[in-house]
Amino acid sequence: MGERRGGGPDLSRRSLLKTTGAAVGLAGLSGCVDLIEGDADRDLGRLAEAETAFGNCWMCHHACGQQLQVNDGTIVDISGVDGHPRGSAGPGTEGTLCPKGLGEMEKAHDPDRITRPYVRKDGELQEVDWDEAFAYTADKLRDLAETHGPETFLDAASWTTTDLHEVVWRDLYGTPERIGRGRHVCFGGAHLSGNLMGVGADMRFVDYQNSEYIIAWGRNIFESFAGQWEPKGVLEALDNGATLVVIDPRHTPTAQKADHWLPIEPRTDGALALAMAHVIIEEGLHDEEFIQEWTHGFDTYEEAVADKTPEWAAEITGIDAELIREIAIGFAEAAPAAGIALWTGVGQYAESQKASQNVFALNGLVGNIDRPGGLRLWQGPPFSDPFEVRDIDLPNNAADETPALRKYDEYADQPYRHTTGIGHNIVPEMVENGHIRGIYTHYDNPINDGNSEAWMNALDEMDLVITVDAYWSELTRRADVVFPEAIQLEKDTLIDYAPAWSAYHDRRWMTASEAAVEPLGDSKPGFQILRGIAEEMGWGEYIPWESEAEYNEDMLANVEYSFEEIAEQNYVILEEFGYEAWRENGFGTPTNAFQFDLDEMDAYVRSLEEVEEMEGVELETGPQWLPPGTLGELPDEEYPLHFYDTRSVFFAFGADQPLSQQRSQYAARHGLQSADYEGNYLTINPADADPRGIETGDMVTVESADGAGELMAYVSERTPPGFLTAEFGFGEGVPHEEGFNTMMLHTEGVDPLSSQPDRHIPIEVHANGGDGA
Amino acid sequence: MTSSLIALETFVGFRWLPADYWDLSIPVYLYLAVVAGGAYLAGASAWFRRTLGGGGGRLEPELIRWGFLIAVVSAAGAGLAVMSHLAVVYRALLFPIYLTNFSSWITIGTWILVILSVIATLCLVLALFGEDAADAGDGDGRSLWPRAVVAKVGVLPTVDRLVDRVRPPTGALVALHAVGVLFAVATIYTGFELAIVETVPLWNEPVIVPALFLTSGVAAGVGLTLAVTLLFEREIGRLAGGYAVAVGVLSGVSLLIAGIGWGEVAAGGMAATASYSALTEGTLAIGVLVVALGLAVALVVGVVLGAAAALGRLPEPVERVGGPLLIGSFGLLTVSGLVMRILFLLAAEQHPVVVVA
Amino acid sequence: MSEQWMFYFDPNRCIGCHACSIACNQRHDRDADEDDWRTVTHLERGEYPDFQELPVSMSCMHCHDAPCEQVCPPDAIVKREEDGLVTVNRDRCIGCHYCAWACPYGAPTYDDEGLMSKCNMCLGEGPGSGHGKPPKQKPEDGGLKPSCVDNCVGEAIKAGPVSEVMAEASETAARRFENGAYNSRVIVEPMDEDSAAGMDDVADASIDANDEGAAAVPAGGSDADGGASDWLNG
Repeated sequence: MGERRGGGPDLSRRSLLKTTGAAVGLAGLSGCVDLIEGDADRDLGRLAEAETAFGNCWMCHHACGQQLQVNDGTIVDISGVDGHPRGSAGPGTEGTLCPKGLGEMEKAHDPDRITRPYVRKDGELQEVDWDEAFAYTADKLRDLAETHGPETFLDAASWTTTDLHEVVWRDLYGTPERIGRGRHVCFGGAHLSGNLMGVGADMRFVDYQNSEYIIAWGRNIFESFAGQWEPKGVLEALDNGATLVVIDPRHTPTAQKADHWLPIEPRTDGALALAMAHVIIEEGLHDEEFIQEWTHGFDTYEEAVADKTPEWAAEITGIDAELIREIAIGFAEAAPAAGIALWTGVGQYAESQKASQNVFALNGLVGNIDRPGGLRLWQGPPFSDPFEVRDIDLPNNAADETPALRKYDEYADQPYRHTTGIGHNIVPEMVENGHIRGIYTHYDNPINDGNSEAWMNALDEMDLVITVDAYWSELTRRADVVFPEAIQLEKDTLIDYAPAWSAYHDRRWMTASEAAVEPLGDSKPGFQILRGIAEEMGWGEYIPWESEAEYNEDMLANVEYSFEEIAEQNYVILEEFGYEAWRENGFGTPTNAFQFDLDEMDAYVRSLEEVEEMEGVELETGPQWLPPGTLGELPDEEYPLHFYDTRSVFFAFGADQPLSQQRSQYAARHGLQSADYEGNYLTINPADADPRGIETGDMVTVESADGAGELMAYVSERTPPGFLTAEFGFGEGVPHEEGFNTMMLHTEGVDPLSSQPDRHIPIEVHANGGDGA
Repeated sequence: MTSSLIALETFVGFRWLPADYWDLSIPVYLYLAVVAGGAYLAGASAWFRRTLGGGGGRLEPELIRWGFLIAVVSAAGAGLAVMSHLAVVYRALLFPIYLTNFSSWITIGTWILVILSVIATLCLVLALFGEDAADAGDGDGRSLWPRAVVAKVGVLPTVDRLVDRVRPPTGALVALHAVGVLFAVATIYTGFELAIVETVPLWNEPVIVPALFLTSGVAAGVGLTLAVTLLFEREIGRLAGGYAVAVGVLSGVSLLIAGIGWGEVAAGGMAATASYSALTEGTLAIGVLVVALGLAVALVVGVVLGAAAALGRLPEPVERVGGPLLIGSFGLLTVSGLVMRILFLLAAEQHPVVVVA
Repeated sequence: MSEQWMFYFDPNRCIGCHACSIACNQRHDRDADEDDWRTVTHLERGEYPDFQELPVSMSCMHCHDAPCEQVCPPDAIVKREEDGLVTVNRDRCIGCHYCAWACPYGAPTYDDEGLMSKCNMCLGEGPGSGHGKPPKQKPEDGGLKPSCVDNCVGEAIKAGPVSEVMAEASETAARRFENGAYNSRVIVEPMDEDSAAGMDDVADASIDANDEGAAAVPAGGSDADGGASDWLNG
């Protein structure tokens, strides 16, 4: 039911707090003089005088176009850009922003931002000027390089608007250590499968508008998306009569709009996918021509699904066998105009590499890859390498270095080392072993991504922590150098982070913007920060560009537009790119085919063999059903509940949690008040809440074998019994620390094949007693 | 009813409005306005009895003065209570300029309350000062205490003279008191202030709520006047008995109206049902008991004791406890009238703003 | 031009993201801790997995019969002839909160000073703005698009003169509006029959309070099999 105020009015209501009587009345009378001036009706009138500027939203770095009204250096209004590839449904449609994107206006003028550089002197972070900060940083970097070698420094930059950090840290400083998001903390299992099978990381998005059948597999596209084009594209597809299937244990806004919501048992996606394949093959609905010519390992696949009937899967997934059959047939019949959007939902548990492999195999089976309405292989704009354009002979100082993960025996028990150079979870151990001694972070906050306690200790242990950020947090407070970065709206930005997937399903595009306002306080664009470090290190000759805009200009050497021309209109649409790119380019795999079976992937096979030995399980290179618990944890008597963290539409990675409008609406979304509590909520089914005496609004303690913390309960039927969730990006580690960083519940669990921290954690929860507010 | 509410909650999603726009000052205001009306009626009726009916008893002057005094104090209290809740008090004070919407019950009510206050004050002054009062021809009761206050200041003779100089002829006085009676009855507007709120089914009863507010408020106003008067009177005479019967009857009528309204609420829609369950469960249920008890006790004590006294058949042992009994039960009645209005506020449930089948 | 302006809402296209509330607050420089002029409510019903959650975005509906205006003692609330918008003259408001009781939508909000403010369909910027302004213009005539409309991800919220909004609405919604659904104060699209997977009892939103509450009670009050599909058609 709705927000019933609990059985009618109670005596704690605000109305009772105010006392009545003459005293109050008289106080009111005496105050009336101040109120006689009647200026309450004044129109703010901020828009009439304002000038239009543009941005490309960097709150979740998916770059929806932002149109701003700037009045005397203050942003007074923000909205979307019509026709923007990321922020609209395509040509001639309205562009909008989500709550995060709207919030960048508040972030631009947020007094809580860090606006001066800080360095650690005498154990304390002290405010310094930029020159001193650069000099300090360079000293420390040189010390580190001389004492322990540059290879002990980890480049953990994320969400930068420039790729310069790779040049500075890898090529110039010379470290091979680099950790990113997708593979390492976001959706490792699926990321690995996509790459091994030949579709890269494009398996997240469907060619929505052309699609007749969309399966959002563990995806909640209406709340958690890579740009506004996604929910808009799905809505348009629904308007066009497409079928939307949502596979998710939770009821989400996407499930609400779906034609079929499959409330699946958590972590049983692999079984469902195999059963669907079974049906499709049984019904002869597979794309034989595509399989014949463009895939590898179909026989293995066919054999693997031969006994995986819908009835078999129904037992495991809790989905009715007839419904599985219906979905499988519907999907295959609509193919190739049928696509599966899969991201973190099947990417964050210990068995997720196999599970996602099973799901991706369906794409090859029905032949929807890079065909209209199917799984699009996106192509970005032809950026130039500015270093090549300027003829700069960059050294490659990391060329001879091997990442510690592969170099030292200590990590021989980490099977994923064959397919990646580092793992998020292993870094604290590397620090302990002295193999990692310094780190450069940029907005990215490792404390939120698993093994969090160990990470905090590791940050304390490190000789040098350089962080570029906008807010104080457990990370920035632990740093030795804090560089305050200007936000995207304060800098000249050409979006080079994957300008590929968009509402223009067959066009390349670019988006750019010039600074709408001056950087807040003394903050500087990340480009200037890296350039400042480089100059101080004596690498000035390699980075001759005075500004990011100049650097951007050189990235556009091959494009008919200048940076300014793009920025003036916010985005440009470039040439067309066709479907079925594989006909020309193949799939970039050793077999040049889409691979059902990964037997040709040597590094992967080595990982697989090591996992078999370590875990005592039999693993196949082809699609295979791995029950939950094979590699990950299962709830038990002590920790009988299953916890998983989720995303809300209001926050991205914790970077914007300090913003007040988002926090307020996040509370309102739960029918609660942010004035009472601004942390995340533990969503719990009444069947679990009632026996524990937990009601919405109670503070509760969540406990796993590895950690515990407090947050507020939200009792709802939107989550199944036994399955609890809380939004990611709260508590320790993020700038606004209220709530609980649920990754404090996590230490060791990973997908041994991909290194992805396992975010499915067995827990117990109990009420704290007393009123939460 | 409760079970059907649960059934509703199971199959219906809805959103309630946060119906706490008013604080406790409003029930106080709504109550004191009618109490002022009731007290005025007590005073005015005694005045008419004395002036027109030739009643020369010693109780009438006391009732007149206490009645008008309580009317003035209550009206002032009502005004302060309502102003304490307003954001811009000076605009309310300048009500002839600002309150221009005469289809709003707040505008109408403001005028009613202000005019009643003015008339009650006039009547009080005329009853307190002047030759008659100075001669103690009206008795020497405690109700004359304001004279003592003025005497302390040393201007009593001046005031007496002044009041007599402006004292209108009897005809005009009758007219003044009659108009006052009209405005005292017009405090029924407090009921209409709530009754026209369509979003709150508990209030939206155009007959029941105004009638209930009037009868219960007047009962309390008269009852309070009588109780205060009896505080300083040893015996319950026939006149006092008559007033007690009136209070008892008014309380009984209130109880009857409340009972009818109770049935309406219980059988109402979703929001009415929610109000009903708020009133029957939890803290508010205690308030309901207080109200019912207050009205019932006033009914029984007022009618039985009052009738006996009015007929002069009060047995002696009863007469000794009769005063305290009347004072106590009418005191309880006064409290229950306020509690009733607080309940009206706290149990107010607006129609859910969204209903999903 | 004296045609009444009004809002339109399509629950089928609302993804419940609250962008409208934030856009509204930012357009009118409203702090996050103040009550929102435009709210999004998530209505839940049923038990997992037979569960539904319906987002509903609401603000002042600028009712043709403006109950708030009728009860406002100082005539601070104005139902404008020229465009039908309901504006507030905060120089007259006494802060009595009577309008909040009268409003079926919970639209009036009160700031720290206790003065009322609410949606003005972006006729102006900020609390109290819009009062006394020239008639509302359409965006193509240079008028400001209401911020919520401009920023609605799913284009679930629309605003405009009645005839235009009706023309954009589905036939069913327009017909229901003409027949007095929601007291003809707002046009709301009926819920899609095929949304909400597996739910046969089609949800039907009624943004209305002024229908007699009794109408909201299913006949017999024992609709225990969930077949409550058509008992409230707005």
